Amino acid sequence: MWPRETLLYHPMQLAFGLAIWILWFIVKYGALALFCEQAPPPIEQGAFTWINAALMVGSVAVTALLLFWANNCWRAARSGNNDADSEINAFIAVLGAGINLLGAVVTLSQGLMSLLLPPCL
Amino acid sequence: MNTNNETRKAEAALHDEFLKVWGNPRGWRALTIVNHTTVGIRFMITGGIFFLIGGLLAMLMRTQLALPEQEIIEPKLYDQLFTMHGTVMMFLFAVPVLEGLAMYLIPKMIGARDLVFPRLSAFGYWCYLFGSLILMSSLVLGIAPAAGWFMYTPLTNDVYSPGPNVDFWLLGVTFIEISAVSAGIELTVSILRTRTSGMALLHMPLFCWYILIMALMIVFGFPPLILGSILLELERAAGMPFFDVARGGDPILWQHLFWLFGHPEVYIIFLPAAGIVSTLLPVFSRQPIVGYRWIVLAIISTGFISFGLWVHHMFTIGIPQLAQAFFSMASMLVAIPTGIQLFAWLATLWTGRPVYHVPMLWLVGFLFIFMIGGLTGVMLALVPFNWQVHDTHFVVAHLHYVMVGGMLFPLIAGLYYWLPHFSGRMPSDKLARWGFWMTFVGFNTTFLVMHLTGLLGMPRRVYTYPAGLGWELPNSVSSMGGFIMAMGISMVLLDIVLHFRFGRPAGANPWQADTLEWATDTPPQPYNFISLPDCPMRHPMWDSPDLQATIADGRHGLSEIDHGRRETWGSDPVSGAIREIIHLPGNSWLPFFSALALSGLCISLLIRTYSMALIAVIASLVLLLRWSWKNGAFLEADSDSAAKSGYPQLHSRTFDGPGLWGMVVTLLADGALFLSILFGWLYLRIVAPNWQAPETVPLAWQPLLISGVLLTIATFWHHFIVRRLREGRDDHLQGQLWSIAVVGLVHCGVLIWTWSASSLLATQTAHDAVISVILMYQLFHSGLAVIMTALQAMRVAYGYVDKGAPYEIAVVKPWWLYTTAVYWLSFLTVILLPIAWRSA
Repeated sequence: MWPRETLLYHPMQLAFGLAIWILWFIVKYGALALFCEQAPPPIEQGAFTWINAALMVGSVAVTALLLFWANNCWRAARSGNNDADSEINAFIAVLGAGINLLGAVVTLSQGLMSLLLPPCL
Repeated sequence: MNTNNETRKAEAALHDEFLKVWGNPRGWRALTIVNHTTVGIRFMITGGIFFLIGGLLAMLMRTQLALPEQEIIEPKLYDQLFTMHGTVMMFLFAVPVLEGLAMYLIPKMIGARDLVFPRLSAFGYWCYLFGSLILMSSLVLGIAPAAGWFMYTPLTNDVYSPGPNVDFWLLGVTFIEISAVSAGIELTVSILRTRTSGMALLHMPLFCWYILIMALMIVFGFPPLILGSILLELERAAGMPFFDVARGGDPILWQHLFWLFGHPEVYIIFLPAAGIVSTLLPVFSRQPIVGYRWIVLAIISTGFISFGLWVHHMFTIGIPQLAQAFFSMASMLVAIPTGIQLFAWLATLWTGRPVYHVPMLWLVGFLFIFMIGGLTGVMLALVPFNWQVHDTHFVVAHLHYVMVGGMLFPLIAGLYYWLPHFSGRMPSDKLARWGFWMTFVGFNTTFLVMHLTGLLGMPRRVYTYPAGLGWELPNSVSSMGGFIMAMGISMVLLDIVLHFRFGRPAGANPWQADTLEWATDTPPQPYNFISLPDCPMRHPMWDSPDLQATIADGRHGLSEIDHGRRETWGSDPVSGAIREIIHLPGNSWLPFFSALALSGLCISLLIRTYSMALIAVIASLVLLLRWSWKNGAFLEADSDSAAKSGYPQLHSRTFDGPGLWGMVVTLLADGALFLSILFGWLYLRIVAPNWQAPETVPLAWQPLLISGVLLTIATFWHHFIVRRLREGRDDHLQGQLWSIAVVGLVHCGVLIWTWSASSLLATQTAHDAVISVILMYQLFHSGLAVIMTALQAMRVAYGYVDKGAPYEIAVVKPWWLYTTAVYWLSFLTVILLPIAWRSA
């Protein structure tokens, strides 16, 4: 098991936030197609359907995870020393914070669409 | 004086020694050159020629459209012209030219002597050249593709497009894509693993960040189109119905596969161009770029988000509103990272002391044009507006503002900037300024007006139009603008040609640039640097102005050449700390002949002579395996691997050399292709209107299970061998490798038997056709794993591989793991999931 700090300074942070977003996007898009094929809710329900609710809950959960991770990265970036390794670590952690934050913004922005539109129309 | 003379003599002697090892042959043997400088220039010149051909096709179309109801070009030829214009510009010009520039620059910018897989670069170039020639020959023969550059089905199936036109596109472009993907792999590993000592990620030139992300986008973005092209060709040539609704397919699947590639493609082209902007602006603003970290953030974000937009090309096909909204939102959000870059560039200009040399003119032109293209892009991301202007000239205008503004203008800026590097001479200021202004005015005259033509309702891809619809004037203006632009481009070309003869000598670092490529000679030597400097900084040429001299003096690392090897540093991907010495392969005929054999395969498939295709497959396989045999750990690399005390080992003595990285990145591309197959399977299963699945799974699951277990045993066994090698044990290595190969062979045999005993009818339903493709994919991987392992066993017998040189076996390990993962994922998706669905 890697210590938490090692994970926060790991170069995977440069991709983590947006990779999570893209995975959630694939799941969301695929699930929407599947649910609309297998069990489409009545059109007259508009956006107030179980599908929309499930997508919204999922989006909020992923957003929360990414915000939490962004915060961790930001704190890690500010806690380093001034030696060469810390400089590299801080560079990765700050970028990681940005990538996680942007992932959260994109996830939530797309998720909010679930409040507005019917799922299968 | 004497000391100076002696120093110069010593430098010249060292240079001669380096040239003996790194020099390029002349005459016919020039075809064997693998050096990145030569290969990069070849890519750029070839791409430039295709740009002129693509431009000529555009001029023909503008001539036809200049006035209503003209009959200069007949409709069928016009269809070929617009199809080939788009295809040539996207596949034969934009991507290859930018790859060529990246290949030329990246090693120089990161302080390396060559790209990490030089023979792969050369192979990529030959595939590109031969594939392009095959594709272009169709135009000469009058049988060019005529269905638009995105080849939508059912227009492109064998009913509506009989004849070889579409086949030229599918086979030619797929062949060219081999080149693109190989460049993507090459550039990724080179940037991550061959930076000079101390060049950590945070010191890397921004251009390298852009190219790294572009390369990874190629790795993930091209496979969906490669798969789509293979499926469509299989449908046309073998009757396997992937896109035929009547037999359970769906033409919309093609659109998904195409745009899964097509939208990232826009950013694959834009990112390197933006990299040129981020490289040039600080130089001409005479201060470091503002917001380095912000720009890196923006580059990575653009790379990711661009994969979540593809459906915005498909808003009119009837996708549910909520799904459209997801893509619409992502399309608008991608403007955030682009905006970050734009503000960083403006801030750099604002806070710097800009000097407006010729490259700056093109950069300012870029900012103006690309901003308009970006804004119309946001308009098109809005679904209702998109519906209104879909397939009109508005989209054509937007596309050209993005592509010409976002790619061509920065490319020409870069061309002028690095021209002294290519030739050692400066261009003419006067001709260059004329060239810019005529291109800029001509471009805007052509395409700004075209937005209006589109809003007036003129559809794209019509060969003529009737008078009286209000389209006459804007079309005439666009055509005039097109010719002005052509004159501008001609002026630029004239300037470039003349400068080789009349340009004044550039001297060292003529723009006072900050990056390492300006520490080489101009034009550069094949080895780039006699010695490789430490570079723990972002602006080496500003911080150490005497770097060029000290490098040439051999005062930095790895300046020995008496061993006769081509060497460069292998470094840690994050910190840039030196890990090993990478021994690079030299010139060879193998890349040329391998590409030639593959082009033979391409042509024989095109003319449907399958016996010849089989011969070409065997020839390709033999050549590629011969290449792998010659390219592994070299016997001659062994004797003095610790030639100088304090130097690290040669990469063949390690477990983590560049080959392993190359294999992993290759498998990422391979994985993207496999996921595209699974996407196709699930998509057809869920969405295809006439999906036809049999009552029972047409493959017996018991032998499949046995086959999978055998494969898993082989993989674990191979894993075990690598672990023992790490522990320094290689007893019975050869026997174990042969045994693994035999187990793998039995696995293949069981799989082939199961397939042959099944009731699969690949030409009857899409269901069976997709399963057949998955089986072919699996057998290809399993078979190759067996061959590679058998070769390793033979190499152990020859003494090329043992505990002292374990590198190659470690390279093969991820292939086994990947093959096994693919097997069980396929088993889950094709066998278990349908059973679960049926019982649900």
